[in-house]
Amino acid sequence: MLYIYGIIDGSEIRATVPLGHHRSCVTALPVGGLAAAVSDATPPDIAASVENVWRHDRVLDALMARHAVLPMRFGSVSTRDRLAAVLAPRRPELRRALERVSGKVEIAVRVLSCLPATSTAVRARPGDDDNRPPGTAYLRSRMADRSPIAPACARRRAAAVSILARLEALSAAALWDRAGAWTLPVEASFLVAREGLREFVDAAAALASRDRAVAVNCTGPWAPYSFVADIASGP
Amino acid sequence: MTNKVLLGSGPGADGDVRSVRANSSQRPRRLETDADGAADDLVKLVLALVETVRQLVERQAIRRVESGALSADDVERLGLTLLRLEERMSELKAHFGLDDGDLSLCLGAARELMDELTEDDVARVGR
Repeated sequence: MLYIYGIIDGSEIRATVPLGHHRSCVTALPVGGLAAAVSDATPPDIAASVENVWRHDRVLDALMARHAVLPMRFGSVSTRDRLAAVLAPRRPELRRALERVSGKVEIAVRVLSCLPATSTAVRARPGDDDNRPPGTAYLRSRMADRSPIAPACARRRAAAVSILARLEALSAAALWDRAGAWTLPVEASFLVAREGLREFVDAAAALASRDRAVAVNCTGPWAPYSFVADIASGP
Repeated sequence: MTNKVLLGSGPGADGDVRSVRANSSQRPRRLETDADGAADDLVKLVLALVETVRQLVERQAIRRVESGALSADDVERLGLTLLRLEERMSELKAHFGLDDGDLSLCLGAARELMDELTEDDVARVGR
């Protein structure tokens, strides 16, 4: 059995790649001008441990230094014959996908709310809020404060949408649920040219610093998992 | 393990590789302590932690109120306690010259959890 890390452009590995699972060398299984980056998977069960997931990622990172890479999901195994049989008829589709992600990496962005330490909204005091007793009035005001239709929530959502839209303009492609961005956190994936990575992160930092109601987390660079979904059915 | 946090905080933050920026607000993530400022920094840190716990308690209280499991007396007693806590925190902030932003911890995944425990749940109730 072979463990598959991803599909690369070219029929041989030009990058220096660390050892794969079971300390096996990562090699290329060529299929008509493309190749699957694979290592021996004997036994085929690769534990879904943190260490192994990062090992999979390190191999992809190394491959991406010299190749366009279509990453395979962690844990993908197949036989040599089966893999070649699945890849061969899909070469044109795979080539197009490789061209699309060539020189680019995926950045994951998450916009989350930074609720103020204490609300600046209406403060309940005795006599406020329909003459409710003060403790009840306080709790009711806090509940209203946190409602999704409260102005503070709406402002955070608007800030998140604005940040993601600006980042989208700096990327080659973006995936995020604009309609679903009405509740935080909002998650997005961006396909970013490798040489534009610093500019992208700097822009994210600058946008985040403008509004203390939200925080922005960026992780990456990742292999472009989110941008190969249309060819994701593996061997 | 590898660190892939480029901005803000997140999982896998104990590695070595590609930390371009440490914090979304571009503030250092460690206390900038000197002999003169050490006491102030410590006060800020302690109050930030207390405030975070207070917020968690308040959110849990709101969830209990929303569940309808509390009597009117319970709601009033809980609300009064939280009101007094917030008033006390406001006094402490004023005393030490701190504002809300000073006490807003960047909690990364924990902050997300707090958000998810509040806005999502409130939204779900409101649908």
